[in-house]
Amino acid sequence: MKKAIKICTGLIVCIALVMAMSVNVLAVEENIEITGAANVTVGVPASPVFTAATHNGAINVGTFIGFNGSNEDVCITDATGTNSGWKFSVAVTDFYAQSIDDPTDCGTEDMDVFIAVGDWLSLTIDNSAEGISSDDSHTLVSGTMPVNGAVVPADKVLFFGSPLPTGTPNGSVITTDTINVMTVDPGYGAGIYMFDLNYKIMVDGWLPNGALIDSTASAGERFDDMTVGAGDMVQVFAGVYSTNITYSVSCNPAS
Amino acid sequence: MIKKILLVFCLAILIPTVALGELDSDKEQLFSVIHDGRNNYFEVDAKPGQTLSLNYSLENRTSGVLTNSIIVYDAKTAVNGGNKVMSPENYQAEEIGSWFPNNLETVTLNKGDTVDKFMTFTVPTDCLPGIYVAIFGLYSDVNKQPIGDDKDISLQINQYFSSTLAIVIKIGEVPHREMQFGEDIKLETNRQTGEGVLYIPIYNCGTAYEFPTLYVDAYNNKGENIFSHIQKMDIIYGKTDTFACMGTKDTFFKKGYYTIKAVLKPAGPDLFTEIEKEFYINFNNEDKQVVEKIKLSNKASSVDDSDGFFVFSKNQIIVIITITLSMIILVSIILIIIILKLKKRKL
Repeated sequence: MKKAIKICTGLIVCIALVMAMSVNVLAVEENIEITGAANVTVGVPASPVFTAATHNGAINVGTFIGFNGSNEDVCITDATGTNSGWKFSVAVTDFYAQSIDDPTDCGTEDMDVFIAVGDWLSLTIDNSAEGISSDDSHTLVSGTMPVNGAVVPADKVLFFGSPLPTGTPNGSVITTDTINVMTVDPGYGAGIYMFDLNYKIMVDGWLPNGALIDSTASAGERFDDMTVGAGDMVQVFAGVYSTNITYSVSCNPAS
Repeated sequence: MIKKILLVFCLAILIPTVALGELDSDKEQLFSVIHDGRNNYFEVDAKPGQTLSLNYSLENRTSGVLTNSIIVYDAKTAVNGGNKVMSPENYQAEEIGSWFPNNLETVTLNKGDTVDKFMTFTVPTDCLPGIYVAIFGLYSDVNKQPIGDDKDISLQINQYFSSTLAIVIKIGEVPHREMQFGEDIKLETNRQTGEGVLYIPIYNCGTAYEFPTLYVDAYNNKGENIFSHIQKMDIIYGKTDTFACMGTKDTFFKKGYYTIKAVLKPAGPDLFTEIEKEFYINFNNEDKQVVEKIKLSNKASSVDDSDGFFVFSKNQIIVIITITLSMIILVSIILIIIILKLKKRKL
């Protein structure tokens, strides 16, 4: 009987060792080799997307202002050496105007106005000779730089096509909405790609539905945390309306 | 022989550097990042309670002085999956970003200069197994563009540039991978284009990120296929709800019942098991403006509730088989010994 117990103990120890080795093998399989990689960068030439020099006149309400791209609005450089693809996104804040005189308090206090960026601004990627093919297939075409990228088939490029947000602003000067523009599949997108970004600005004479007006001094008055609704008919206040646009290129497992 | 190897190694390093030197550096607004990951993002194994460092270099390849902000922030910041691009003014570091104590820094480099950097992070001791992602971001200076004069109404467009890299931290060995469809689909009207936008709810109930492909087919009450759509999804983090949204033009702006069949397939092998679900919508309003923002989920019903299930990985199967066989052998040996003992006693 003692011998049998010894045999059983030996077997249990053997099994435990086998299991421990199995677990160890799993751990080894999860280890990662370390090499090296650079990242992708995004930039523009000397003249950015919006050219103030050609559009320095007054903004007339109800009139479109167009900013047409020039093949080099955004330049994406993938020098990672990994051919892992990338994603191009645009992050935008509301159009916001601060220090606008509050007309309901005898002109002593200021108020802020926020407008969803898509209510005044729209963005499209231009079908140009460089950047994206003109046949609506959205094939990615390389730039003309000395180190350019290869043509990327349309089925390897994901266009999200998300429009700029409309209707409900964030009510903040720093909060952004991120709009994914395109993703290039792993295996593609190495080199340089340039795109046209066309913008159209249209400022209506009335504040759009959803616009926020915030005046802390106007407690109980019309512009005390007012959200413009249908039929409110509030004229656009004169002032400088700013928005922050961030062009971003990302490297992550899904890009 | 060693000299030859060293020569080849040096050439291999120099070739990409030479190639990059030919780029038009004036176009770049951001430093180049060279890091010690095998992918184009950071990837590291870690254990709960462990403190690790990630090394990287920044290089100014432009023709002038360049200043960038470095931020590390939470990956799960976007509403519909993916990453929200964040700035030094609004970055969030409340989840994985908070593992990095120094998650905001400004760096200025002269033309051609390089600096070696590292970032340290500590995994919480109570961290559960899974794949965790933070975002490393470079953020450029502002490029202000006034539009219009300063009378009446004028606009100012402030332009920034950013490049981001994911920091993928793997805790534990085998993440749980499972995806499900939600119950509520909805149809809205795009205010800019006037076309219908269909939203399919998706839930990543696993502990790893996924980036699956969605196949959608819609049928009318005659069984005719009226709409087909294939969509590669953006990254969906573990334990996260999201929507796949797709333009449908006027497809559903007619009175009637529609069956929408959705299939979600993983992007690579050995991930979650493909899932499928059918939704019904009863569309009874032909006025696009009225239907705007009306959710059709109250008309939707689920047909297949057996979405997704836990799938064992190969390694898990090996361990389970090993344990099972070992137990069977052990029990058999004990039984044989007992039988032999009994026989001896009888004899």
